[in-house]
Amino acid sequence: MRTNRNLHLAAILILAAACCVKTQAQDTQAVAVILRNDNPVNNLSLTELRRVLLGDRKYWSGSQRIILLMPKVGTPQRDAIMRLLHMSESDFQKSWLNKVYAGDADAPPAVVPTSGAAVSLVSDAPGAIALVPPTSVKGGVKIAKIDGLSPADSTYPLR
Amino acid sequence: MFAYGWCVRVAIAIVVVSMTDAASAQDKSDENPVVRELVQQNAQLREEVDLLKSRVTLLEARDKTGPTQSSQATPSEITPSPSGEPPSSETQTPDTPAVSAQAVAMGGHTMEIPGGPALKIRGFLDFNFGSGTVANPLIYPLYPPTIPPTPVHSTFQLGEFDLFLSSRLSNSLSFLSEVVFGSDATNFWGIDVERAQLSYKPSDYFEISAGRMHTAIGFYNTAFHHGTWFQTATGRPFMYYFEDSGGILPVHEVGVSATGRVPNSGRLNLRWIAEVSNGLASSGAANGAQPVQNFLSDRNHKAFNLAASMKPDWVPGLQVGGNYYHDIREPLGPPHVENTIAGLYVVYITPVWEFLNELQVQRDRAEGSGKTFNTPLGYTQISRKFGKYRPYFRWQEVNVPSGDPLYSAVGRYEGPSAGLRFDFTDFSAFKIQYNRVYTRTSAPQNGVDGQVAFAF
Repeated sequence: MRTNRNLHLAAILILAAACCVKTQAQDTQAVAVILRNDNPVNNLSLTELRRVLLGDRKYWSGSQRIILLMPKVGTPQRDAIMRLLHMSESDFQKSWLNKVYAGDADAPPAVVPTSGAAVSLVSDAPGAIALVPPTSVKGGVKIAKIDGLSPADSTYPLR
Repeated sequence: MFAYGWCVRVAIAIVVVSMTDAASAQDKSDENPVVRELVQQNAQLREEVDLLKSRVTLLEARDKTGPTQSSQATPSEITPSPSGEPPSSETQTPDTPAVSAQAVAMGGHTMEIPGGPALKIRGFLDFNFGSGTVANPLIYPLYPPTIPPTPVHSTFQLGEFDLFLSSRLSNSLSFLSEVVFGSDATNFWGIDVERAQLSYKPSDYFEISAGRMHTAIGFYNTAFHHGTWFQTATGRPFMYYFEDSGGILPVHEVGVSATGRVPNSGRLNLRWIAEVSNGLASSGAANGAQPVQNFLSDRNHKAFNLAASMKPDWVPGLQVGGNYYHDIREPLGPPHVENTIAGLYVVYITPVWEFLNELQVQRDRAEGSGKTFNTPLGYTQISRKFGKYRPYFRWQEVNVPSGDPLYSAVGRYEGPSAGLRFDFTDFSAFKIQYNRVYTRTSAPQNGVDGQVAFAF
């Protein structure tokens, strides 16, 4: 009787632990950085990506202006960006406002309502960059590697 | 038995809680096939609507930039929502279709230029209550040649009503301006066009601006402008006081400024700056003169400023820089004065920490006399954010030697400031600051300043 109880308890605890692990994994899904197919850039370092997200880098090589498309507030992609920058949403907005005020940027980045719309816009606009779930990537865009890693790699840094 | 039952309950609770999301999602899909199909169709339609909205926005942006630049249209031009939310009908900027509809409704009586640039306006304001001597608040003129010394006082003060205007004229050409309505000890209102600059930015490696702007001396002067909401403290350090508030550095300039990243500077992330300007009026602010030469320079030769900075990648938040400014003033009466300013700064800014350190040495040499007068100007400021609160401390100094041919009347003022900033919303802050000022000629002075600063 006691053995059965213990087995019963162990099974429930294992199930609970498995569920917790699964939930955590879902919360840290990889975020893909997408560029238009004709963008010569295939790999970005984390530092370069930070510069783009903060408006410190405004052009790709040459005179192709970077068009940053930000995910909507509250999405896992936006949360991943804030984690990467070690910023709160408020800090991020203030940083961009300060950039505009200092004359270093013309406007804060555009916010795109859905990942599908982001993919579509990136495929349309030369120089555009967006962060989306890897599953939403379609034709016309490519996934840029980050520090040489793609979203499928276990050590991919953008989650 | 009790422990076993308790463990089972806890375990079951964990399972239930951790599976809530998945279960709720599955509930929908596990219902009958018709409901499931409708849910899928709804999601698909919403996706398509969002996509179409975005495409319309993009197409309108292309339309605004004109046919020659249609392929370069940028969505970032059209949805600069400070809240980070997508544009809604209530938050449309002048670029968006709502204004076009408005233009139609108003019979064309709007300032919208079809296919032309759009003007964006943002405002900043601060409202203060202070008590004490000239040490309150520190944005008050400490050295006002045209204003009598300020007695001990308690007063409400309306600070700078700052309107920031910007407009993008093309993909690489933009204009910004800062128009400030403000009062001073005379209680009269004045209007100053503090900044008005046209900038051409063809790449990260070269940008050029012309007009009236903030001189690239040190860090604070170009990092912070007139909106006090951006600044941790209630005001600027002594050394960067505006010229009409007793500042002795050429904070503003009218001329041309070029800047850019240094190619192949790698992880050092180097930038260069070169500027040519009218410089300040030879007589400074004496006799009520306007120190910034907006329209007519009192001499033909120009001031120049060279600066460089680096933001090394391996220490995010660190910025180190230096500058060298040179001018020759030609005051009436005394000989010409060679005026140079050399400085260094080291700042470390993260969302949590702020540690600013700057030192400039202004050197005035009256030609022919062989005498040189060095004025050290500097401050150190440290703050740390705790949630919505940010306590801070600043020590600052300006020490003009007696006999300086340009600013001997300023003398010395130095001292500590300590304060607390509370961001009660994302775009408004309350600050309270204590200041103590030591001067060469009078007893130490104290002041307390409370400030509400916000962006609108």
